[in-house]
Amino acid sequence: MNILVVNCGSSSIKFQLLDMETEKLLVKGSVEKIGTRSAILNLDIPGKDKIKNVFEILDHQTALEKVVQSLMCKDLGIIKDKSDIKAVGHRVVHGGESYSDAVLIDNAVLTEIRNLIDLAPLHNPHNIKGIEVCQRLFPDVPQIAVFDTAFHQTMPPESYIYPLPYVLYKRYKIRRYGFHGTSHYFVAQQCAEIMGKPYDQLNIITAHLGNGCSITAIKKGRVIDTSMGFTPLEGLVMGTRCGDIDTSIITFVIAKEELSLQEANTLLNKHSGLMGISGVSNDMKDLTEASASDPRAKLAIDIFAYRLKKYIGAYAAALGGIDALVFTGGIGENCALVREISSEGMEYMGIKFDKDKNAQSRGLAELSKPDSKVKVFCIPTNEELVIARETKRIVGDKK
Amino acid sequence: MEITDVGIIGASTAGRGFAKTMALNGINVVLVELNKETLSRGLRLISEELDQLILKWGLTESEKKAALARINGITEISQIDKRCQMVFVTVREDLELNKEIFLELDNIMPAETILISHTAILSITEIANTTSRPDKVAGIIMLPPFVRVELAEVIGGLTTSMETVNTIKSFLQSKLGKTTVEISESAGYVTIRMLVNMLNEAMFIAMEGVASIEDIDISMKLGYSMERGPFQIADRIGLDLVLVWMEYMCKELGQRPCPLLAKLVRAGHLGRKTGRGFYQYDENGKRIGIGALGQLKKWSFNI
Repeated sequence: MNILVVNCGSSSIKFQLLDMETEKLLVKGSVEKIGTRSAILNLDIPGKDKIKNVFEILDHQTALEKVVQSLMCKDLGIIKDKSDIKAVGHRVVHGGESYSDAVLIDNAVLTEIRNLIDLAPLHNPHNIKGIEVCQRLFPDVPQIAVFDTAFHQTMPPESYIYPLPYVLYKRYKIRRYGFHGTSHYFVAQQCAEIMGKPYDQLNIITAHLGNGCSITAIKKGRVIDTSMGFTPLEGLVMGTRCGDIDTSIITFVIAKEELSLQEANTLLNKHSGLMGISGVSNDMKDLTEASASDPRAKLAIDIFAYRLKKYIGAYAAALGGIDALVFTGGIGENCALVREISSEGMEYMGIKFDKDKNAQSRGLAELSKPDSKVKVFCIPTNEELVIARETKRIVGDKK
Repeated sequence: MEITDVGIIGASTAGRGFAKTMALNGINVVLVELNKETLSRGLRLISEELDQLILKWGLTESEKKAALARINGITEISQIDKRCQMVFVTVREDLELNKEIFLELDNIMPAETILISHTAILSITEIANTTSRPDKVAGIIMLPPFVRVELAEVIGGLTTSMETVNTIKSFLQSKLGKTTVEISESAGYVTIRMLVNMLNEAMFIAMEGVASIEDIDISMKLGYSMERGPFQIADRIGLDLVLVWMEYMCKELGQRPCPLLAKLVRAGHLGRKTGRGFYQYDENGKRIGIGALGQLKKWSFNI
């Protein structure tokens, strides 16, 4: 059973085709720079050379048509016919309070995702576009929406209600939603599997540290808190996003610098975080290299790791102690320094961190010492696989 | 019609404003300026103006790079990319000059291309009638700074088709994120007509010695939650342009333009861009005091 996974952004589409009998990846790829004459279609078939083609692709419809065409291309031999694709799984960023699980898309669901545009103006419109185009391209194939927010819907009100006038929650649904749900879910499950223990009996903290960063407290298989909030701006320090700050700062700066709302928003989302502190880069790799000679690059890393550590401590308290701590995402999987600063000196809560092992690790690894009460892991994430699995599950349910 | 490419005639403040706004929103721009030096100056200013946005955190370096790559400057109208679905004419407010350019565009552009005049006062109908496609000619007013101001007034002349107006409106809304209002042709339309009347009244109030320039600005700012007072607005627009509008509007509406304005323009005190206007400015455009009219106190009743 082949499942196509689609992640539609404003000017790019990422996709994977998986054979879900075996969970084998058939092809992954992307279309970048949609809306230009030099759009790029990347195809990566395991075991073959990567393919890169430039086309004029002005909209998402053409982009997905090109993708399907190349999947069916005889020379590549991926699939023979459109009908070889049995279901399409869509990443949808915001499911609001309406969805705590993946769902088969019908008109009512599409309308609801559209209603949620207000909450995710940068993401949901493009996700909707991807769904609409796929409905046209594959009219008889079930389309499934898998939401970034769904996994976090188990949070209790004391985690998701902000200490603001309650009427704002009622009026605009302002509350904590949390993001990266599929990633947190995937690595938490993997973690339980590696430990050989039932997932629903473990207390796990998962830290997804990529371009965006979030950390989640999972109690016996259910999320009880997560650091991203109403939008993906809250919580940890990120590449260009500030994470937690005193919100008075922003009204103060708007007044002092005569900023528009758009400028204030961009300041927080694109000029802050690692980039804003260091003035060097938003990339942890660049900062690690620069940190020897540039004190502000070092400061950026220190702030990043210190704040991460505070969250680990806070969530350990919220969970009443933990069984495992998991790092994932680009930084989580590759930056030993961040993992070290944020996990060392935590023997008081049962973490015996293995510095040497950590320093050498890239990708899947156990980073705690064998006698550590709390296990620390680095586990590469695979959101597409989760989307494909969820899609398979929902399609199976309906049959 | 999906708008992906536009032409812009003129690299003055308005032309640059359009070019930046379009390019920042992913539209390919052909910027036409007949004079080679003016063109390279225009392109340099666009880059500097984008730097200003970065300083205000409204933009990142990579977004600037991407935007600049979308702007292609040329010096011949005839060389304009025929794939442009819209062409914006932003030359000075001169009817004959506009007619000439629209005629040339009409000859070289495909029949479906929409031609748009950025004018506060000229008649769209009159310009449209010089072309063979009067249904595809319309006007737009956007106020500076174009990138920041959310408003766009879309002007239909007598012959402009609803389809054209709707295409422009949906382009401005969906691609540029503007809020549009639809206006039928009339001198000064809405924003310029309201503004010119307010500025003229503010100048008379000052001239009559009722209140000082600064106090009039303070009153309007605080009283009506305006971001700037009338004299600050005039200085930012440029007093030469305000004078053109005012003379035209006053003629149309049968009023008398305040002589203070012409006095400053004759002296070359054109507002923030020349360092002096109603106020005085330092080299960074920061207000540092009252302009040459300060000495009028000697003659007014308000001594």
